[in-house]
Amino acid sequence: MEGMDKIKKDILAEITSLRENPYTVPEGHFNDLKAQVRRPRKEPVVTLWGKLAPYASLAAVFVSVFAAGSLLFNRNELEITQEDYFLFSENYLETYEMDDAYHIADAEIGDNDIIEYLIYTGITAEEIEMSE
Amino acid sequence: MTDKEIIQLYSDGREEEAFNGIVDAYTERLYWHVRRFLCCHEDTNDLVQDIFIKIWAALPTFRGESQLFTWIYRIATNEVLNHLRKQKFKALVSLDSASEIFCRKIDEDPYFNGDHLQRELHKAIQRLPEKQRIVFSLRYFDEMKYEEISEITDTTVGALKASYHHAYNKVKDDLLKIL
Repeated sequence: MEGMDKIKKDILAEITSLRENPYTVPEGHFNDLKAQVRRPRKEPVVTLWGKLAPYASLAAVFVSVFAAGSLLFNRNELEITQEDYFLFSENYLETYEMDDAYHIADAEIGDNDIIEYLIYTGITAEEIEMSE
Repeated sequence: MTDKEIIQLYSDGREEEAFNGIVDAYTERLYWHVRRFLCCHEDTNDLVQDIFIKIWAALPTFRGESQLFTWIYRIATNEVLNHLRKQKFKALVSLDSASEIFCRKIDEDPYFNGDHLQRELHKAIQRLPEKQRIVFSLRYFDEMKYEEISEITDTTVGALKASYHHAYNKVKDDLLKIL
């Protein structure tokens, strides 16, 4: 009776077997795991294009912005009719069918990507739960 | 191989050997550290492999300002926390809470060899908030010093003591309910 009272007072300290590890692994598991994590790790080979690509992208963005700005500036000097605008949007603006949009979303962004993004931005599951 | 020998190998430019030394010395310890949080053997295996990839990638940033052991545990614990956060998001769209999912994993785990009380203890730990779970596990099972846990979790010793105290009482109360 006294022993039970003692256990009830602090079960985590009194029952020492609770500190023991109850989990097990298949036989020889750690040797396999060590072999897996020891696989040769090669540094990714960076090609010349790999080094230049970010700068090339940046230059392309500047050129595009400049070209778009010049085009708009020049067009604003003219009188644009509704028909002009319609033709411009038909010819120059890319349009997607809704099916394509779903297809793109399915192919490229999965639940894990969204979760990674939310964690990256510091949003917690609790915050989403509270906002529902 | 000791931590000192591993660091010496790395300073001598023998990175691959140093990494292999880490793999030999830490695979088993990290596995058990992670398993207590993830419960499931397969999930633990995957995460331990990810942790070693992170360790390999981060090795050049190790400056020796902290002990190698706390530096490695810090990477591992951050990966565990990230995994737990992902599980919480996944639980949002399921009918069960993240802790219920982990408790079910304990029940379904063919590699769980504990008795009824041990099972209930590990389920009670899954019901703790993430940080309390980390502190409780490192202190109760690994008997780590608060100063070491402080380095691993980047939390003050005072805050850790308070967290452990709350976690200890919650787990104790949960176990007393089933006695």
